[in-house]
Amino acid sequence: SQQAQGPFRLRVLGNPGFEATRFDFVSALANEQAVKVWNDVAGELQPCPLVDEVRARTGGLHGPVARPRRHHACPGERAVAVTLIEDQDYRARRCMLVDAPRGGSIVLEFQGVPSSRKLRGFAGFSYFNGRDGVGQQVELTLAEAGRELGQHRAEAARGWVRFEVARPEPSSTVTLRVRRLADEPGDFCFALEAR
Amino acid sequence: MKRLRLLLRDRADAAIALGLFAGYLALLLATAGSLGFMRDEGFYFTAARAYGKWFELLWSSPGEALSPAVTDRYWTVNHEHPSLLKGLFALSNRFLAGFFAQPSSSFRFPAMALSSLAVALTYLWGARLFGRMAGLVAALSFAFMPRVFFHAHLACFDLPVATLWLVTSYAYSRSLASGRALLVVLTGLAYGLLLDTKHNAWLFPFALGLHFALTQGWALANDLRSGRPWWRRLPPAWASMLLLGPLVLYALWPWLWHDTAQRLRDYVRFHTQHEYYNMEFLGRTYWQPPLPRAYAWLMTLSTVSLVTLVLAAIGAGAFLRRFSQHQARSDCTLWGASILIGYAPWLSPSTPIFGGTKHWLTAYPFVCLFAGLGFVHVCQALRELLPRLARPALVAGCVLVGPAVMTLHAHPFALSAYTPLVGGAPGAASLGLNRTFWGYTTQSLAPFIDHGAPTRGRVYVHDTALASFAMFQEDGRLRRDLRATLDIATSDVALYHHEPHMSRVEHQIWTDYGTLGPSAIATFDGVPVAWAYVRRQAGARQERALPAAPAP
Repeated sequence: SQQAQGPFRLRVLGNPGFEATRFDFVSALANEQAVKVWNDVAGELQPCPLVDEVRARTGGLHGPVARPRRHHACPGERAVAVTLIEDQDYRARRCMLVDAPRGGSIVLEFQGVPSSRKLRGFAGFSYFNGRDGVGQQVELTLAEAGRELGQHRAEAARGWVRFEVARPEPSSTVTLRVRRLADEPGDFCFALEAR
Repeated sequence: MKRLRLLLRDRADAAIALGLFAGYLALLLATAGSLGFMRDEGFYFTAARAYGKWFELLWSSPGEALSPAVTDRYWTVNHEHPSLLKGLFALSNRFLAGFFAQPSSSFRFPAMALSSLAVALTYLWGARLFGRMAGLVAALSFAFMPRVFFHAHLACFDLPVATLWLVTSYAYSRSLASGRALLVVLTGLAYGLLLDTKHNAWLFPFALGLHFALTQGWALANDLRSGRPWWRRLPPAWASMLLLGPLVLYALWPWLWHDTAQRLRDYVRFHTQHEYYNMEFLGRTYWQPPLPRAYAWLMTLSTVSLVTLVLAAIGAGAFLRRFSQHQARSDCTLWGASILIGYAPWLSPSTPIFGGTKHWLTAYPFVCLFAGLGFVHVCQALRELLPRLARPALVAGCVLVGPAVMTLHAHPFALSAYTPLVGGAPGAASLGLNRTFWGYTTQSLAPFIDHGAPTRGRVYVHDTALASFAMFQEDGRLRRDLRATLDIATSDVALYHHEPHMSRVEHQIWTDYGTLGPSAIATFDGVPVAWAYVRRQAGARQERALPAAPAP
């Protein structure tokens, strides 16, 4: 439908394929809802506790995206937090930033995830710094109840890319493993919903 | 009697040219205070200060100043660009600062003076060939191009190089017409100054080559076929430019005095392998080749008044129709060659586009000279069709009022201003044309920053160079207790100058400041151009009611 609202024209569009979001992983991390974060190097797990720093960390135009004051702090001043990156059209994407270690992984375990048919996500890197396509790659593995659901490999130059995995036997605990494949860390960030 | 008439005519034209020069310069000085400082101006202020110190040392201790190590220490600053303008900025600041209310004007003054010279010379050239009114229309059409008026204020090189291209072209044209040795020498010297201004000068010989081919090419070919001394057709000014040009460049640029060959190579390499900065065009951000070939043409159409372009097309068309017999064949061919060569690099998809329209400003005086010729033909047509309306002053007023209004309305947002052809600034923003760059629009947020920042507050400057921010403070446009920073996380106020690729900066501000809503927005014709955020836990000043968003 359309209606005029002062100088504006309001168009209301319906989505014929609407699927309700049953669980938003980004909001869960932002709200500190039943999520644990570990650093995994050579099988050695170290927790990444929530910390409140005096200031956020920002990089300006050519530097890293913002790491908020409050974030999960992993060894080596790496962070896991909800932040914003820009996609290939320089639009803001709210997502879970994960600074994976070289030669290792970051594991995020979400509990209390309701059952659903699938997990739908988007993943990418801060496009401005990654668009030259050199050296930024990450592998995201999704699992629940010990079963791998699928993998998605993100490359910076590809921008913000959608992926989906089915949940044949949903359980309430979903584990996400972010493994860095390249030397350059980059600003890897992803969003995920249970639908 | 004829000589007396010519003398009186020349003096009248000189007086009009002087009036145009003085009037335009006065207008630039009067409007400079509302125009902020570009990123590049900050770099050139810094360079000028360094060169100024060297000049002082040269005066007090020439032996020391001229030693290689000392020369290099000062002239290494910003050595990727030649010295002439920065040296003039330094000298102007040293000797003329006391004449200006704001220090920045003393740096900007030489570029303003050169820009005004371009207006005056455009008049003289147009008047010489096609009459006084044609010259006035040409000069004022140039003066009141919004982007020309904008660049004319700046302590940069873009309008000065257009001026010196025009000066060298004029001297060259006169040397061809008269053959006088003085003009031949002056052409060489002028070319040296052009070389020492900006690397657009490298294209100038191609314009002369094209001009020669079009005006002498056939005759030269005949000479070659018949064994006649073809070399006598070569303009003497070419030898003058070849000899004197590099000498002047070398003499006036101390950075080249040592390790000359390597430094020249580095200079050329810097510009031929320049990094591609980002530029939005039709909704897409370009940052590497292939770059859009339509860029130069569409940006010209969307930023130059249509009436000027139509007049120029009429003038160029009228000239081409009578090319072989036209009374001003050589000069008009030179104008056309300068326009074509000025735009030619953008036939390649590898040519950078990040500087917007300033890349081809050298073509604009010649576009306006053709506009002057077009004006003459329009008046002639009106005399035949509508004799009662065929009053040159009336017609001139009609063709100039639009550009003048557009230019004055656009100030100081000329980089955001577009013509009605694309819907003005709002239409251009919708089309995805560049909204702003260079970080100068901090000026429009200055009242808000002064009011909203805490005492000794830190201001994240975003695209404003630190040296430019310092000039804001030195001029008294921003509080001197404020501290500029490049770190959002430690800032109290964060500025944002919008370009799509810059959005990641704003995202960092949102994340760190915890808000999506700016506290002040600078707009032009309703289009947001730059805005500012204030951190909620800033100091006592924030408790006062903030002023409304600054007017454009």
